Amino acid sequence: MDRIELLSPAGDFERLKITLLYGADAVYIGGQEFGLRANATNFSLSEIKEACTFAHALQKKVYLTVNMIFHEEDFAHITSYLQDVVEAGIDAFIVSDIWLVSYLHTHYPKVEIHISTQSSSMNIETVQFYQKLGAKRVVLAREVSLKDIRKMTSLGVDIECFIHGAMCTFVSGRCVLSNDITNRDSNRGGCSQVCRFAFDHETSSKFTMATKDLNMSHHIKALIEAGVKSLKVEGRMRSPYYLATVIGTYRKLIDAVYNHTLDDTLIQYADRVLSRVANRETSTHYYFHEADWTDQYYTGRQELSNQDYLGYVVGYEDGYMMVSERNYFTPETEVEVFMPSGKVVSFVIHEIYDEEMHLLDAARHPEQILKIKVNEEIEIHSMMRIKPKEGNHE
Amino acid sequence: MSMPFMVYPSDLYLTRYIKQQVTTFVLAINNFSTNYDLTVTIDDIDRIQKEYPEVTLFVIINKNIFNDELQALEDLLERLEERNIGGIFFYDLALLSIHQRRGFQTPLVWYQTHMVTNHRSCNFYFQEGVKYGVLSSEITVDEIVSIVRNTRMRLIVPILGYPVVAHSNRKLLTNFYHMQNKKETSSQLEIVEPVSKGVYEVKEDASGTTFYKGRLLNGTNALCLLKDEDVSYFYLNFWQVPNDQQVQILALYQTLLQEDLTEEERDALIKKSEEILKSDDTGFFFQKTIYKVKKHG
Repeated sequence: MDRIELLSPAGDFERLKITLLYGADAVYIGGQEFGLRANATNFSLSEIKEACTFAHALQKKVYLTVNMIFHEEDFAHITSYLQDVVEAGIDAFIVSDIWLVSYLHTHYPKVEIHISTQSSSMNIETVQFYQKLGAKRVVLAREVSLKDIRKMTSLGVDIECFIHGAMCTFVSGRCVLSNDITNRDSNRGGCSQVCRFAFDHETSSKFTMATKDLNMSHHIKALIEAGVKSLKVEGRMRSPYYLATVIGTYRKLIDAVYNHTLDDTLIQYADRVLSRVANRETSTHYYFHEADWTDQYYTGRQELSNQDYLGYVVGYEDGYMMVSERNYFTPETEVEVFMPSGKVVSFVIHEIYDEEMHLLDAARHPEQILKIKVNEEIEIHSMMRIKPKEGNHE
Repeated sequence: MSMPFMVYPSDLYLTRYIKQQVTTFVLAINNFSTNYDLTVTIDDIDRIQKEYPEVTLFVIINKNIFNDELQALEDLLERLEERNIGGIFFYDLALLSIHQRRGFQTPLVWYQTHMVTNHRSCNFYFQEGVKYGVLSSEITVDEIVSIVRNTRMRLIVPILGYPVVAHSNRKLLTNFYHMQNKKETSSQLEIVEPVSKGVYEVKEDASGTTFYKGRLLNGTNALCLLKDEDVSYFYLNFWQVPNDQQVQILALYQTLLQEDLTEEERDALIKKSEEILKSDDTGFFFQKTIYKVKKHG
């Protein structure tokens, strides 16, 4: 039986590399045109090719978003663009505009077509309609419950579901508030996230509708048992640290389900790690009940950040881990280093040196290379963070 | 001669529209439509068709459909098939799928609100048997012309009404009032975006919450530019438009369509429409949206 796929966003090549190393089975990326994140860094054609080469060497896949809703002017370069990205080696297109589904199936039958969540597919008939057009996979709308998902996983088309990250307040494709307020076209990748604005009304309080983030870490087993093909994490504009943490955590949860080692200790550990990297509270939204007042914020922007991420490991030599600094820390800080392989090492930092082995009283310069003694060998691309409270899990 | 208008009426007293040569109406079906205040049942449709035999009725089924609603949707389509319906506006592709599977003949109208923005997708649906499409309110007159000239699909252009700008399955007003600890609640709330000063009407019903733009779209200028293009219908949504304004604007449109006007006369009519409707908001008819706010290196 095929194992479920863990699908990660990647806003640029650095993020793609990190997230694949930390356990994603596939990544979805945007080119510099035709996607729904027009203002992310995105990938040039040569970077798409490089991304495919890197991913395929690891037996992993690259999916390209071409999921904008086209206007007449957008057709100018699309044909040559599609040809170019197919030649670059992408494994699937993620699309929502219907003409493109038909076009791709005719012209590139060997490249998978995935129907974007922008199309808000919520039922069996719709999934089967796309299947008839040649879609290999449908990304279900975020409004679909687990009960309904179960009804759609045996139709002969792969089902993909979001499991983590930001949520839209509105039904995907059914919101043009961004167009109206900022003139930025939400269905062409320009969304200015107006749903996170606070609005005035007749009383002194503000009307807000911002949603909490999605977090399905407690329910991975249920999603696997439901027959879902791919679990998708949101966030092409998120940092490499965020991706490493979230993808690494879900990797552990998924592997534990298949290895029959999933237990409360791991779930609680995942909770602690994910809550430290989140900048909003989380909920399961529509999966188990109709979304309600507990899934939203009511007092304007509620975004938190922390300085947990201390450094990125660039090497290990003679018992010293070489770290590129990300946030201020001092000796006696209790840290853990989490590695692409999933291994985690915890320790207290005793001494911090610079590259010339001068002893420092603190790490205070971002991207400065520091040396820290660690007895255990540390993998390159590992990340060092403040140790989450209440234990550890390896 | 009937005017090329398709009207969503503010109530079911259709005589006053018929008197002004409007004979095509759009009605939203109870339980299967969203964003529409006035909804009807099949029995209402039967009654209207009996009372007004000269009218053509289109019906709107534009909510997103969940699995447990599919059978009821199929039953509804079957009942509509037994009637003489001008067309069914659809959003969810489940409707198209069922329609094709059952071999129904009632014409379909592609009505995916903000997604009907290019001729290629119009052509796709036309080949799938969809006769009409309602163009998005977020495209320019130039884009409309390009679409009209490149598809055989019969097109409907919304030119008047309070545009829907967002729809959520969430109960955003219920949630808001819950957090406010308010005992007295309303299903409608006016909100203002403080920077742009944009006003929105928020309305909640069983299917979720809809945001409407607070200013009436006045597409009179667009109508002038498009009247000689091959547009099948201009769509007028009279929800919350006072009756006297409806009468006056229909009379003005009649003049505008029937007479060969000079530029000055046309401009005067546009000006008059602004006075009647108390709005000069032309939406996106003359304003292109952007989506890239920075250049990539």
